Amino acid sequence: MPTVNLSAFFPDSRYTLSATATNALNVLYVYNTNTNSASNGGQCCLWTVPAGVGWAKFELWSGGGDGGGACCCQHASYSGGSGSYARKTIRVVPGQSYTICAAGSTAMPTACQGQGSFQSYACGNSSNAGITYPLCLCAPSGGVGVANCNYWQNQCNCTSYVCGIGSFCGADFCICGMRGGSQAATCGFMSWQSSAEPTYIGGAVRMSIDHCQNFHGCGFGGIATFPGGGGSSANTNNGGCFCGGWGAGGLVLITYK
Amino acid sequence: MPTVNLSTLGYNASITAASTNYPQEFLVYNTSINSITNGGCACVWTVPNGVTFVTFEIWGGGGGGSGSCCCMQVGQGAGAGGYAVKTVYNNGGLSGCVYCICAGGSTGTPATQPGCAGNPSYVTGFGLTNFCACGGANGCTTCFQYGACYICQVAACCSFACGGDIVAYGYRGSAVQTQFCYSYGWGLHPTAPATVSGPFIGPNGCNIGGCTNWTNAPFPGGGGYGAHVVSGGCCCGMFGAGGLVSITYG
Repeated sequence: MPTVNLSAFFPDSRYTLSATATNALNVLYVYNTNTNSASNGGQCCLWTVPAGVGWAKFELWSGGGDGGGACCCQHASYSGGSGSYARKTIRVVPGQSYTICAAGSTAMPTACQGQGSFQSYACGNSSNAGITYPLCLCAPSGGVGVANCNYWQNQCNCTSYVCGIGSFCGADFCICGMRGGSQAATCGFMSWQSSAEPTYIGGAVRMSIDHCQNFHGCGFGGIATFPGGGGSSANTNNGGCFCGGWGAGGLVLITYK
Repeated sequence: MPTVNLSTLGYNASITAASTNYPQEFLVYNTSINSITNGGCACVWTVPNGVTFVTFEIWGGGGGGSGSCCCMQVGQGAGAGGYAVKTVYNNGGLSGCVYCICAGGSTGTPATQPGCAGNPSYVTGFGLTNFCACGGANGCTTCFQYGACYICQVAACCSFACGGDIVAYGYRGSAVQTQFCYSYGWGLHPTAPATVSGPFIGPNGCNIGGCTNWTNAPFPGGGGYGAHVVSGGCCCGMFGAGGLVSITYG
């Protein structure tokens, strides 16, 4: 079961080394705290710039794609992709408001193709005292996973570097998510699936599930990693159907001063 | 297709930007990210007035995949470039400080063995000492599982990074080899730290190619695919992605 320690995600030195007791930075996290649940609905809020604040950096991770479900005898073709990352720093005016939405996690589909994923965004165009600093920052969400009957023939379905669903907007810097991969094989050995981990802050890849054990996203396929990790697709080699794993929800991080 | 959005902050414009009272970010890299041997990008940046801190975030270029002739497969996937972050702060201001910035280029695509080593990215100037993200290890191909005809020679370890407040090494690649054509063989080509999650997996033992028909390594810093060949002819490996330097100042 993944644990979430947000403070450990962002140990980098940007701005923080220069912070002192008198010029400390403020950080706000927006996300649905049910990070280990399907269909958590995400989290949206209206953030109003506090008094005395002159700038804000917005960082966001969109949600991961869900894995595909499978009935006998289907195999993961590839798993759900990770959500993309984007960031933008702007001037702000106290009293100005921005709509912040962190993507929700997906459902667990029974269809052999995942059903979608959700984008995170931060947008605003309000003004205060006649001054406006508009923002519309967004990033693609993860691509969906697929299970297929054609991959019982021994072959590698390679990972792909694709941004996923949707597009970037308004970013200073952004990184695409990646779709997962798999190796299908005859029952017995050498079958695996690689699910994409969170973009920018993730490490490596989450290898998962041997098809001969009827693993599936419902219980044993491994939980997608927050924020924005892709869900595993299902595998089964006997009766019954199994759903794909959910894609993890997104996150919006606001650093301001 | 890799995407890097510079729509609002093309680096030439940003380098000449006036001072501001809020942090701004610009990027230095060669925009031909899907081209071989793109040469990287280098520039000199003078810190504008009113700036008290600068944060440098750098990625080294990825290693190049190795070429193959019949009947070779990936012995070790090309490695990812290193990653480092460093903030320079001076309460009295950094105005006028000059920094030399270099983002490593992409590699070539040899049909021979091994692949090319990745190119480093680095920054020099006030407050920086040996600040560098090295290029990824070269990939190699081998006949070991098809019958020994070539001994793989690769870099000894990971791609180092140094001089930062935070550093992360780029992983060296790996592979699963097999004696069975048509099945199971595949390479692991790492992506760079603080980019997309990885690794980049493929191709399997019976896919012939590398010169043109494979997906490019993820930018920045991803290692290029190595080639598999199971019939006549030779194929080259894919190029390692170039490096990147991000500068945030305020």
